[in-house]
Amino acid sequence: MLFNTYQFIFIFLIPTVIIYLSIPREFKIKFLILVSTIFYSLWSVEHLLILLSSIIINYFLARKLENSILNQRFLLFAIISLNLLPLIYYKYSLFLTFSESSPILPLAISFFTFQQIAFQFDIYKKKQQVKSFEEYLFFILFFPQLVAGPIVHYKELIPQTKEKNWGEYQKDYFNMGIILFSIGLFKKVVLADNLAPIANYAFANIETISNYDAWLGIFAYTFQIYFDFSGYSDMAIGLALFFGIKLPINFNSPYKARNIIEFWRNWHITLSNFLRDHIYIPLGGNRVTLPKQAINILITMAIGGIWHGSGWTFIIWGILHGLILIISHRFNWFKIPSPIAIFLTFFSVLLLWVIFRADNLSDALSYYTILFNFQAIPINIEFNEILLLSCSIIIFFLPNSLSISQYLKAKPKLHWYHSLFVAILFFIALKTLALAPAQTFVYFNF
Amino acid sequence: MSIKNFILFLFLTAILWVVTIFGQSNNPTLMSQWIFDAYNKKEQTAKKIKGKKVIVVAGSNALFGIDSKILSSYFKLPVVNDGVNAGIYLPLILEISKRIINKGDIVLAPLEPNMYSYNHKVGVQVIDYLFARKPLFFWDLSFKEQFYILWHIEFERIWKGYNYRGGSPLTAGFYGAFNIDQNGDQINTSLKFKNQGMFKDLERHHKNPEHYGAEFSTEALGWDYLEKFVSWCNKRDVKVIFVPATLMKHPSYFNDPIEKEFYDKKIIDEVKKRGWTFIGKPHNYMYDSSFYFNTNFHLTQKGKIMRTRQLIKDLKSSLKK
Repeated sequence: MLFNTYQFIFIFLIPTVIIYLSIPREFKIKFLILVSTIFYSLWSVEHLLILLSSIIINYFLARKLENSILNQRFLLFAIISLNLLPLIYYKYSLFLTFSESSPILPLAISFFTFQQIAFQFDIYKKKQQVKSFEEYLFFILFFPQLVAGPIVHYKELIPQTKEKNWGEYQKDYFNMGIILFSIGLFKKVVLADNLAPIANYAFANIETISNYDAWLGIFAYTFQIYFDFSGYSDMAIGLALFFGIKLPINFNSPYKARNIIEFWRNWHITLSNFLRDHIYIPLGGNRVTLPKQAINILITMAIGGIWHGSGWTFIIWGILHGLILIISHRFNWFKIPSPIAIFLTFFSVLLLWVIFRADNLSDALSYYTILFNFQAIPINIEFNEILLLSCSIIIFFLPNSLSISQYLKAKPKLHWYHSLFVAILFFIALKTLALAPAQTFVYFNF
Repeated sequence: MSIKNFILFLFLTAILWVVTIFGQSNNPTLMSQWIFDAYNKKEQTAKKIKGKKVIVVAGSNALFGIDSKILSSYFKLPVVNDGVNAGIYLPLILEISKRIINKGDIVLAPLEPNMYSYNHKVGVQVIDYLFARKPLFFWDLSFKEQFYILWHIEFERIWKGYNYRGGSPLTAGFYGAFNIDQNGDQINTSLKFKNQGMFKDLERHHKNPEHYGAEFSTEALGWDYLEKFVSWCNKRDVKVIFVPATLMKHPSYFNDPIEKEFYDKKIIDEVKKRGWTFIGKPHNYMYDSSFYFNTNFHLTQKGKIMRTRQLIKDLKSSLKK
């Protein structure tokens, strides 16, 4: 079930919140596990079995890891490998030519695999203890973050359920939840889903599109993937707040970054943190020689690339980001005036989305050829141009969801015009949903 | 901010939305212009006729597929072809036809097959026509239809409603009063007017046959509208005869059990069960693609004559009995 459907909002979410608030505290976690299981099973019962098996196996292996004295490092390696096997089979078997056809990717496999690997790392490093199975189930299954993150650490989630007022109706949480869910829904349904056809058209017609259409297409995709995923993250964070849980933020205006390091600190933050903590630092991080450090960055970014999908395009996209990161580490970007630095970073990211979005490298190269074969620009401002311009204004000049949350948090009292603003966004998003079938989130494919 | 405020403002936004929609009602749009022009021309023709007449009520399968002059010679009565566009759906088509139906007239209704399955889910053309040309009819629709329309009207349509500065009859293009003869039949549909794009459109239609049989329901809202319409006609001594629409032939309409039964039995049985008259067999009105002009419902000049003769043949044999 997608967050951006009437079924989810009116049939699933509202009754779930009402029941959640009315049951005794001791049943709340059990109830959330139950509804999360139902939520996932509506996608696929078969894949639910994979998810539950993975959770059970990981829980018992975590206990083993916690209690083992000898060969802890080997056991951790074995657990990580075991977690990666299903991911490799479902996601990369076609790419690695294990199989001639690609099996159907279980929804959220990349996310729940990484979340559980992070948990095992925390156990290994004694940052975390294995607690009850019920809590572990809740930690993985909690539906707002199950499907596409944010990737959460156990210690970020479970302690919140121990707080005194957890499970009660908390006005501040609820208000913020409505605000973030409405903003997220608007970003996804009104912005991302209207940008998608422009990008899809350009990438489906590489042989025939003009230079102008190619630029429209790549701008559209750059904005689409941002609004799609940050919209999803806003919705997830908003939903979690209805249940008294604060999830970590995942986006913080990445397109306003002044260099690529800053971009990765603000784009899909929880994945970037995971890659840093569990790949880059264990490889040696910054504590090694410069050439080794550069190789570590390239390995980390290549893994980050292939995490998004199987194919050379994703690996090369990751490596190219890695190369720019290496250059950025050696170069003091802060000497460049901010607007120019933002412009250069944004354009680097935009151009690299071509490789990410193209079906194969040959298409990507053709697309670049069209992009740089400059032709006269037709001056006709139509819906697509207005949409792209509006998205640019939102991205570069308006506050992001985090700033809005912080602003509202700092206000002693929210006013009627806050309600009006959110109600209008929510209404427009709901209304837009009536006209077009709900589209899946881009990151659900990853 | 409170949930109460949020819900209140959501409700107020919805009211504002409805006000915005009605604020542009009766403003003409380009999309509705040709349909409006066509109906106007047909109305002028009908007004000139004194005494009984035959009126063909349907969508564009009638506009392109009825030769009113041939039909007129069979009935020995003037014929007005009131078929325009099935895209404005059954309720509007029936309602608009009432403007030219007088006591003692005969209504021939070659309704497109999907009209019998009409439910509340209307398309963009209905919404556009309704607010641009016939806004008061909104209040005659069921609550379900009203809600559906208000919720499904596009932002762009409202923008156009406020900003379109046209409204004069169209004089160029393919659809419009200028391409309709005095009886209301579409003209310039012989082969020489058929271009490459039209051939491709027909090929596309042939590859994607309709599945009207699967959508059929005797509980559909369309039957309520037909009940009301027939009863309105009966009160005026107007005879309503349902006849088949034309539809481009496709093997699935003959081989697929659901589709076959729909055309062979279901429509006819349901019409007859309600005590109305249905003459002809839908399968006899399905022709090869070469007889169609630009869609699977629009016949060429040659196809139109063939279909009208088939209709007369069926009327003759049935009315003899």
